[in-house]
Amino acid sequence: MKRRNTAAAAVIACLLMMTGCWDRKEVKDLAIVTASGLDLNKDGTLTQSVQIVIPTPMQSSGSSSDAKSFFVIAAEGKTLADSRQRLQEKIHLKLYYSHRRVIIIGERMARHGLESVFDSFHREMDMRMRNMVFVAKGAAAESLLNYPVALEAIPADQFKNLHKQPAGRATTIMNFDATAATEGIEPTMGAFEVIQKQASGPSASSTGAEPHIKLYGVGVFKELKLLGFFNDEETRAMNWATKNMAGSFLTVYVPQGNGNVSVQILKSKHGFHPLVKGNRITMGVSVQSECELIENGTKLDFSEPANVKLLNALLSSQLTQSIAATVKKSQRLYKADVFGFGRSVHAAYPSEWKRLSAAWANVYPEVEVTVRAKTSVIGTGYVKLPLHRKETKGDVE
Amino acid sequence: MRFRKHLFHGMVSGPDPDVTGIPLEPNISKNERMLKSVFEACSDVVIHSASTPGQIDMLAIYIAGLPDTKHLDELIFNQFASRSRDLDKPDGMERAVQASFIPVSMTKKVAFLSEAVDSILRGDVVFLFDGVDYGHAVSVQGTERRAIEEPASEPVIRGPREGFVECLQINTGLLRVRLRSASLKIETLSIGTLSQTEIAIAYIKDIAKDELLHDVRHRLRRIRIDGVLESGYIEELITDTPYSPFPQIQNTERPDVVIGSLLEGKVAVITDGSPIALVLPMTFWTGLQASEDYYERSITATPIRWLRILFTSVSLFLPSLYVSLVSYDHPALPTSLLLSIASSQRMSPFPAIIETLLMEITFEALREAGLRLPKGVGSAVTIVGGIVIGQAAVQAGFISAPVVIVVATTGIASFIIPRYNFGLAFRLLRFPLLLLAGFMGFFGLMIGIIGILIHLASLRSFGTPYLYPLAPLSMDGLKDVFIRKAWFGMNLRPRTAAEQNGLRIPPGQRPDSGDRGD
Repeated sequence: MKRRNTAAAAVIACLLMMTGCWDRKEVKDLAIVTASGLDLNKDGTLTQSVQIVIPTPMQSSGSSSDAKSFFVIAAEGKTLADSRQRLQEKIHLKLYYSHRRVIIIGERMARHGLESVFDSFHREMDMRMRNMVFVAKGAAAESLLNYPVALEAIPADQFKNLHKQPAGRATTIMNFDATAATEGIEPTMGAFEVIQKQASGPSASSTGAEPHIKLYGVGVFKELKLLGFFNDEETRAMNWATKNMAGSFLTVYVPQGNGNVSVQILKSKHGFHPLVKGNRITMGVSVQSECELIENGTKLDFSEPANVKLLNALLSSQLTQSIAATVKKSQRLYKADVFGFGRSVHAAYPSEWKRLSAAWANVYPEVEVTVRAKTSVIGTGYVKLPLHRKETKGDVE
Repeated sequence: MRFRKHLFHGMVSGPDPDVTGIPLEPNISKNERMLKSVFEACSDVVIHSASTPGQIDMLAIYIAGLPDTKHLDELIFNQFASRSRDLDKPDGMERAVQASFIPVSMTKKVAFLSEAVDSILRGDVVFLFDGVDYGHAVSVQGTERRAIEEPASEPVIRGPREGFVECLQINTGLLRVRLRSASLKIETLSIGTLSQTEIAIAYIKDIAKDELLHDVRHRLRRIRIDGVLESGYIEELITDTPYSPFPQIQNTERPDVVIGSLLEGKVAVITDGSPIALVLPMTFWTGLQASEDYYERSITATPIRWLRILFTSVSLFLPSLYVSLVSYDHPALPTSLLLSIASSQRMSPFPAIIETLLMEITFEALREAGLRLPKGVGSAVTIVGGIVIGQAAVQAGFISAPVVIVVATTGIASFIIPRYNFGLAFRLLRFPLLLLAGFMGFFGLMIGIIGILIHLASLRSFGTPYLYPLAPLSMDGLKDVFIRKAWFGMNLRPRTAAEQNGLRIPPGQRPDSGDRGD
């Protein structure tokens, strides 16, 4: 019995050992891809480009920040898989996609439609659905990947971090997919543009003249095709109606004080209030926010309730206008329900929605939208007037 | 086979001349001859012949160096001489002996040769008088003993500084001082045909379970061995699963730990000649408890316990986790960490598993070298080892830096385990896990972890499941596992103790509970 146990243990040990390290892959044998770009060529083939990070030593030996911390290779192919195979032919290390975090799609490909691309995304084994997906406005995706970035260990992170701002929209493949598949809402995708900065002015150094990447609102999609863009102002307005904007700023010109006032948003609430009466659909968009005065460029004293009231009115009307304009643009120009009005109708009128859902694309532009934005400045600070003015004027009152 | 058995039997019975059953004679010269033949060629046995003032021949037999000779001279010979003027009378000597010897802590009548020999070997002085067929064994033990010191293997910041020494009597005394109760029972038996080592079983009556006591006595009596030099001999001879890396008998140098365990219904086995007491049964969790947990306030002792559990798992898993992450399961690493590992691994010639194995083995070797060498040389080893491992290997590109970090963290983590022999188990198990991780990544690591868990769950220590009170689960027992409940909450003894005495600390003693009567 004892002998048999020993034999069994030996056999098991051998079995474990004999598998060897057949799928062992050391980190040093990997080319770590952090971003890819997809572009459609004029002949119908596509180009896939990948950004590969060069692992830098842990201690920064000297200030060799001139050296790029990454490089980009690109290959053409008939399909994504085909281009992937051709990419691998260009590099001796195994291309490793599991740590990819950003996929950038060129404008031409986005306008052409993303069905085939997404099909591949769904099938690829090392695809992470939490990858961010962005569209490159007026540029090839490959060119976006090539721009260097300082202060970022992983260069691809700049795309994600830029779009975390109030004027951006960081969309994962998963979210984009889910939104595209949902009735009554159309997906958007964060967009980037390349700024060709003119070397002018006193600081016309070499860095200033270089083109760089800038956040450019979102791309509006319908049926996985890019229709157009919202610029950053419009994107911010869209976000006001659909997201919590705490932390962002609003600036308004106050004619009575002949200057600008900025407030920081402390809290914001948003809501859609659909009303379906036969074929007439009205949509109330309400935005409420509480904010705090952080910059006063006027001569007004905001410890006076009247002035605060004035400021509230100005802020609210400005916000209302910008949201209404953006809604209008989505209705008239794109006919794409990026706000998700349809979804809120669906939630409020489930039975009506059965009738409306099929033709929603046609109904949407006809929806009467009323925007009601209400801001209330709840904090004006204890400094009534800018400090330096106090000294010259003496008495503030 | 038969022959070998026989051989074993002959060995354990010992080569001593069989003197059992021979009574002492009234004739002193006969006795002297018998003793001389027993102690033939034992130059350290002193047979001192003298005569009393009443002209009766007497013998004092002892082993040089064991009795305190100064004591012997002053107390015995002087007193004996002064009080035994009328030794011609038949009962005179009896009275004289009693009068003079009783102050000397311990005297015993010896009637048989074997008894006399035993007493002599134990360090007593045996007095024989002509015309009397018995002798007196007087204990004036005075060998040089190590003083009671702070135990080196279990130092505490807060807590008693006394540790066991090599003398059994002092050790049992240290226990009795802490538990002045007749319920503290100390049974002795001697083990070792040649060494005749005294072993004491200490327990508290009605708190220790009877079955446990029977079991301990039975297992101890079964031992046949020529000599016991350390309690480790006993441990290996009575433990349940000797080939498990996990110790199933706790050992300690601290009397307070022993008493604490006795109060929980455990049994201690103390071996003469060893400062290490055995405490049983032991569970997995006692391996992670330090005596100080019970002396510091529970609110601070509890997180320290968590820290210990955390780092115990680090010491077991970290190297294998590293290897599986680097060689197989890269998706589980954060990208920036992957990049820095990649950059430092680029230069190293070995795969991660070889690197880690090399470094782990080197580290273990260094540790062992530092431990065994004389103190002066030991520090040199650490310095050289530290430079070789820490810097040169990385700078030369033999080894990548993360491996050094992993090995160093593992090393520090393994030092956090308060019981040294318990830590040894984790030191050992690290290597099979490392190999499994090297061959199969996370999958292999899981196989290893499950294997260890199965083993732990199947272990028993004197009838107590090793993972008790977690498996089998006892909610009440958990008050002293992941947390250390404050003393006013430790109301019941663990279920390993006898049931009739379950209540330990009556409830309702929380100082801020409001019934203080003020």
